[in-house]
Amino acid sequence: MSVQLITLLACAVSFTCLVYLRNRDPKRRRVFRLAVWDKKRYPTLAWLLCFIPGVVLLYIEQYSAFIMWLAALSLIGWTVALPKPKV
Amino acid sequence: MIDVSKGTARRLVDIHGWSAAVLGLALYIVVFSGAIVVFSHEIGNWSVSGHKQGEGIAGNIDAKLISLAEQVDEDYLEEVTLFQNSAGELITFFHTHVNNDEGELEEKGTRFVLDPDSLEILSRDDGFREDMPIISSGFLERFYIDLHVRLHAPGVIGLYLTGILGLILFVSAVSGFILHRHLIKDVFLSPRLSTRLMNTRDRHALAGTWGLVFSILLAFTGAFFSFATTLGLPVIAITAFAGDQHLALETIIGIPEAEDDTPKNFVGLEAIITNSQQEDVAGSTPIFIAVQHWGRADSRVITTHGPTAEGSMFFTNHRYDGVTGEYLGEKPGLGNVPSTGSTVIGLIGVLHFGWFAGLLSRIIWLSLGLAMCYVTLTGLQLWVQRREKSDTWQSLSRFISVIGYGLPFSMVTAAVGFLFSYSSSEYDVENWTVTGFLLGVVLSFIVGFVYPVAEQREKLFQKITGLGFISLPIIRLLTSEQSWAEYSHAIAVMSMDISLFITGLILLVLSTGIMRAKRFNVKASVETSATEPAFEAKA
Repeated sequence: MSVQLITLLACAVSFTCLVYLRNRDPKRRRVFRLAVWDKKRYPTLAWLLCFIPGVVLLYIEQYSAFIMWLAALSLIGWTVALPKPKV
Repeated sequence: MIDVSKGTARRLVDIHGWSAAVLGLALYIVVFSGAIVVFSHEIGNWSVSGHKQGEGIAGNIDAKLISLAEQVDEDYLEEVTLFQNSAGELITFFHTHVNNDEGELEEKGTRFVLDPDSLEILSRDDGFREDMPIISSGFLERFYIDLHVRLHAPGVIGLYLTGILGLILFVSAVSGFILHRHLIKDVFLSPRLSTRLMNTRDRHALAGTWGLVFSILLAFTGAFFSFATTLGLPVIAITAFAGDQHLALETIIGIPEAEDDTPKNFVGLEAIITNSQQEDVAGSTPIFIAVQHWGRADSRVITTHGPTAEGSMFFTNHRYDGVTGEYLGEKPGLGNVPSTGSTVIGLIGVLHFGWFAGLLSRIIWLSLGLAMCYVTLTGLQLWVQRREKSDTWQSLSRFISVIGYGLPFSMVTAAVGFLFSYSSSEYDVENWTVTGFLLGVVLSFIVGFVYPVAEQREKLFQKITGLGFISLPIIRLLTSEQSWAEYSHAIAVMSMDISLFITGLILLVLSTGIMRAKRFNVKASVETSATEPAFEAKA
């Protein structure tokens, strides 16, 4: 598998976790007057899962992919958090 | 994030705000141009319509180089460099090292620019390297790189300037990190629309929070490159080598082997290049070759290879015997043997340039740069919006849009100047590129001062910059006198054309106001009440 594909795969996993975390984020929900999330949230697990691609990339010695994933993570996080939620 | 006393927080707010208010726009110029020059090679290739085809450095060059070596002063065989610029032209420089009029050591020799296909001499220049005329085919790329590296300031002054700006970014990022008490809690907080001020603050804090790590990394690595040779080397020489800069440099680069000036025929580069392309050596064509002591028994050849998507993410150097062509092994960037310092330097390059894994890493680094521009501009907007009653600070808001939009616009007009002059008279390329850039700057200032209302001003900037972007592929096509279909082999040219066109369209769409944020609520809603960040309240 190419470095680019591995990186995109890692980014996709982290993106999914960040979307999950964003949708259940208490402050975001409170500020934009969304209904309180009354189900289980598992934030720690989601954050761990978000960073697991990085650990895996380091473990399999894909250092280029790791650096790209880490850099892309900052952009993905920003673009996930930026849109105002639909009330 | 970090609990600090009120006094410390106030001082940090001052440092964070004032440093950005005073130097933020200059910082923006460095960061924006840095983001663009991640694609410098593609820009160079696009600017000449990728017209120079041929095998270039990987072709049959030995006979030509040997004939050139016979045409130059014997002293200039001390060192010979060879590389292929983005336009495809081969540039070889036969030179020695002598003191100039100011007593500084400088390269003096003969430079040839060769056609990569026919190897015909396109130009020959003699003298000190610094005094040589520009190579017109690579000038647009060079112009953008110099804007980023030294803001076009002369000598080391430019490097000091960009180094200081790198440190300012570093300090701003670190102080912002300390000041933002709700870094984790606000990490998914979309910018609130309760007031314009709150919205700007949230936009700045959100982008700054997510970009924090790489802001620090890019700022530090940028400052390192600016100060490494201008300040770092003299300091190392003074502290560790009793002021002997030559000895310091030799130790850092690698102490040369014992000299042997017995005349011996140079082995040639073709076999060396073929050897270096093997997977167990570098696995790629060298991007730069240096021959030391051409035609002597102690001749050495060093081939430099760029990072590749599937190979090494570092630049690598490989040594060969210049008489037998024997492979002597990989040469670290620092010293003669692999070391932690050498790896760290390599990593600094990887993190700063973003060239280490092909197109994807470049796209990510371009995006990182643009995200940092966004943080810088929103930070400045926040500073101005908090001082609504001060006329002095309100005049800064004009400068924010003049520089914010004016820089990309001026870079576009510089490219227009380049395209027209390169197609008509290569000797005027430097003048017209610079004139194009300055015209863009003047026009930006005129727009900035004629339109006092920010919204009108920004829409006009978006329109003219968008039209400028769209005009670039059209002008390039017209001036290159070739149809677009003829560029099917030149992926970089086609991709650049499409990207410029799309960027222009996006700006034109933005100028219609469709994407503009909804009006802010006059009433402060619950959005403002919950947890006001510490520095918002203090400032």
